[in-house]
Amino acid sequence: MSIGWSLLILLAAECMFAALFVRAAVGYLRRRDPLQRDVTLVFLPCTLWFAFALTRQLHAMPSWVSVVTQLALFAQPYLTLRLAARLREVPRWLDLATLAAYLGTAALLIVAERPLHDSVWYLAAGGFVLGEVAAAWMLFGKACTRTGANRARLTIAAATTVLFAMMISTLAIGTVHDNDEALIGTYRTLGLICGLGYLIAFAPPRLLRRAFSASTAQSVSEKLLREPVDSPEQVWQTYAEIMRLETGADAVSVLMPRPDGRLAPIAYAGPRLTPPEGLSFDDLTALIRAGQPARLREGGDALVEHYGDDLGDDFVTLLSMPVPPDAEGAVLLFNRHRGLFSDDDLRLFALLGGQAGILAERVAVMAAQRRLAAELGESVEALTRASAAKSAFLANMSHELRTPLNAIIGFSDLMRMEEPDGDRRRVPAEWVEHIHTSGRHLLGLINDILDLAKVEAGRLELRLAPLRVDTAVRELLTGLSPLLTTKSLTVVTELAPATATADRVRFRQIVENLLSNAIKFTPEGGRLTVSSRREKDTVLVTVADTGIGIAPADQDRVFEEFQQVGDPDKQRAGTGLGLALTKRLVEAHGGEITLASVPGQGSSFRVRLPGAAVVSSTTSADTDQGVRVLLVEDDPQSAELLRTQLEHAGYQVDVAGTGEAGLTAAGAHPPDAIVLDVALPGIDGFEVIRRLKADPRLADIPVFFATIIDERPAGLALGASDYFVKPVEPAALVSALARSVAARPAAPRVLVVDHDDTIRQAIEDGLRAGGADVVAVADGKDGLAMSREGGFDLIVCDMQSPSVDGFSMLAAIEQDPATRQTPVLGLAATAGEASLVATVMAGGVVATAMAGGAGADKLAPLLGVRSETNDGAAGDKENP
Amino acid sequence: MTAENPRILLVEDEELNRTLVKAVLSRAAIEAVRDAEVLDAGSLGAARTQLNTEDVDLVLLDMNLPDGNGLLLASELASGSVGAGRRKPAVVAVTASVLPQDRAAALEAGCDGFLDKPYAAADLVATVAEYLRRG
Repeated sequence: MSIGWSLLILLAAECMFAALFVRAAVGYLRRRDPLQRDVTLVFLPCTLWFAFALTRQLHAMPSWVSVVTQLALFAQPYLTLRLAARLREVPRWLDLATLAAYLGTAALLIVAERPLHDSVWYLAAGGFVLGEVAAAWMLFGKACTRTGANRARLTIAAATTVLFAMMISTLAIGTVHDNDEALIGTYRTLGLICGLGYLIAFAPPRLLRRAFSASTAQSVSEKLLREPVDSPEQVWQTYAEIMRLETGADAVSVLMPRPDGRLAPIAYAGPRLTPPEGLSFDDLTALIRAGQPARLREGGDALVEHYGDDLGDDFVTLLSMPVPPDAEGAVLLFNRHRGLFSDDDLRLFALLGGQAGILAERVAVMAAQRRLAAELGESVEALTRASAAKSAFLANMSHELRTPLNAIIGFSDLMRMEEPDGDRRRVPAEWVEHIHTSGRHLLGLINDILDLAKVEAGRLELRLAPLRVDTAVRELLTGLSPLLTTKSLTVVTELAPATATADRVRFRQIVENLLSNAIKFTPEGGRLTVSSRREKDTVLVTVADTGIGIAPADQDRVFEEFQQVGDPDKQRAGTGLGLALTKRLVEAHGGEITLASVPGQGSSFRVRLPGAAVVSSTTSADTDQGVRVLLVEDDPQSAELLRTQLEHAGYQVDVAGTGEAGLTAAGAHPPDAIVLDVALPGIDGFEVIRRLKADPRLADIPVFFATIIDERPAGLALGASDYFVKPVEPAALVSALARSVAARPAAPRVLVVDHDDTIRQAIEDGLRAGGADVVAVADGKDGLAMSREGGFDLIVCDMQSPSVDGFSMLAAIEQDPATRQTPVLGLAATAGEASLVATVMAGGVVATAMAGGAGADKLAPLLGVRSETNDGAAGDKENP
Repeated sequence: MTAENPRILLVEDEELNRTLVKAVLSRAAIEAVRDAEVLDAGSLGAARTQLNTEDVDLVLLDMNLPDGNGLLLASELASGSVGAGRRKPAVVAVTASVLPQDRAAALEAGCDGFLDKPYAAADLVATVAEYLRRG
């Protein structure tokens, strides 16, 4: 009975191995896959051996058949090692040792006497076992680097190989012990188990493959979904890494189609093997062989050249990865060795790539939604804040406008209540003063609002010209001195000469805002530090105080419109517009304003403005009004170019398109220099210069030709200062201009002292319009202090100044050797006619002055004497 | 000044406005107003001191004061924490904050009336007369 069972087991084992062999052989013949061939070769010895064992039970076999089958059987360890070498690195010595062991065994089997001696059996079996253990070790080593189903299959293969070694040992012992039935039965059973093991490991049936695939798919999906991802790129990265882990590839590149259809890398795992630029599926056709890995070399020379010869023998698997809805990406797997993968497995992985694509898209959509939600939230918050700020601003504005209006309406109401005296009423003078002050305050508020609106709408026009900021700041401080005195504030000035490109009025507004803020927020007895200096191409003006300071959280908000920071119960009067307006004005100049502040210690506002190219380091730079150049040029492009170059150098440029227009412009408002083209419509440039030189008022203005016509001698003969042939080198023109302008007399400096704002402003404006450099102060004491600083060509002084009257002032000026030489114009206002209009032209002085109807033409001779003889004439002093 | 003359406390930090109110009241056509004695205080602190030491018939109260909101004083008067044991004065909020919510806040704090800035002289006189008469 037992023999019957044993035979049946033998039969089953043989059937199993035969089936495995046929299956592997058919697989190999169909695809010519070398891996499949090696698997076939592993199954061959067993199949032969079991067939021989089975046949021997039925017939006596010739001894050579026995020798051949034994030779085949003992080759199995070496063949298994060769298979392992396809899947991983196998040390060369091990390979050689196993081969040597087999060859030794083979020789022994061939030469040994039959029946084989016991020792021969033991020797052969011993060599066999060693070889199998080595092969199993290699397979197990590979299994350890893998995961999931592949790890299981490789482990089973390793275990089966060990079992196979045990089977041969049992066979040897059984044969030696006179074919002990139990041992032979055991050996046959082991053979059957080995057959099953190999079946699972190397040729799993469809059912098993599906189970493997399902488990792999599940683990991959789980990993994909479990990884925390914030961006689509991260999804692809995770997918690439999972692919590398699951397939055991050395390197993975995931490619996605670009809009032009070409493939571009989106993620890598392992070494970063960048694919060729603009890769398409067509370039990879040679690699697409039914999912079976090809060596890179087979993919074409271009690929080898791109990736390098080192990788030439690497296996490359190209998987097409359909990404729903209709995109087709690709996965490239690089591997030095083969993997145990079927088409199905790889297709599955590629399909999972499609899932990764969907996931990536979902992540992208979610990220976009999150971003959108955050943005929406932010804009809602900003809008709410803006809306609240506008409401607060309106309430605040209303409050601020009502306060001065209250005084205006209240006091004028009181005036109406006074007893009439004919068509007049006698009212206290201070009421009029209150109404006036409140009216001006109201005007200031309205101007601030309008300015801000103008800047907001981008309609602010700046008259940019070189401006000596140190001088301008000094003037402002003088104007603010009453306020500073009231609060007993110390002012420290560090004003180094610096010339910025700025609008004079707006610059004063900027600094005045900062100064009055500093005064407002600095407690009595505090200190203000005001400095100016040039830094590279910019000019820095700093206003620092020892005031209450601004909390870090509020430092950005102070520049926002309608915001007043700090304790709301302690807010100072103000519109909340000053700093917002200041910032806008600075920015309109192309500058920036920054704030450094420590609460309780003080604040420091720093304004950085573009510096002006220094036209001349000497006197002419002192003229705060820009140096004006008239450009006579008919070609708009040339005009634009020259104008830009000259403006860049700090000049104010007016352009006239024809010779006549140029002459008219020069006559109406004589410029400091003229740049003239020759070829002009109407009269030409040569005629223009003839007429200029013929006009005594204009003859002294330096003229520069800038023309395409090379007639330098003619131009110079007509009196041109220099002659430039286009294309004009800007530096040459600018330096010639600077030289000639510096050679001309500087603008006269005039000190205006008048306590009446309106009159002072009128005089200041008139003199400035005429080109004079004006310092205006309200108070007689300040006026005296300023006059001692010296350098004034004329002092215009109100004879009825409240603090120091004009007569004492004249006496003081007379006494001081620094000012004794300066002519003084005293203004005596008679009722109703306290106005003065003056026009002073730099260079040739023409002035008209009206003081109390007493007469005009007073400024002219005074300034004329000064600029012509360059010494003062005491006799010209107007001394009533 | 006789003891019968009504007393008004003007709580206002702007000097200009104090001058104005005094000028208007001293020229009023209504005798009671014209004869009223006007005390003034430029801050909440000064006003508290005055109210604790003097009997006052009417408080003209500005809102924006350097040491806090005028409404604080109104509620202190209403609760009796200021001016305890003194005559209880009427309180009129004189303010340039004229939004509905400002008025509601003033009423809640215990003000008896409002006078919006800017006001005409006649309005000021009429308001003062009205509250002096009521008191």
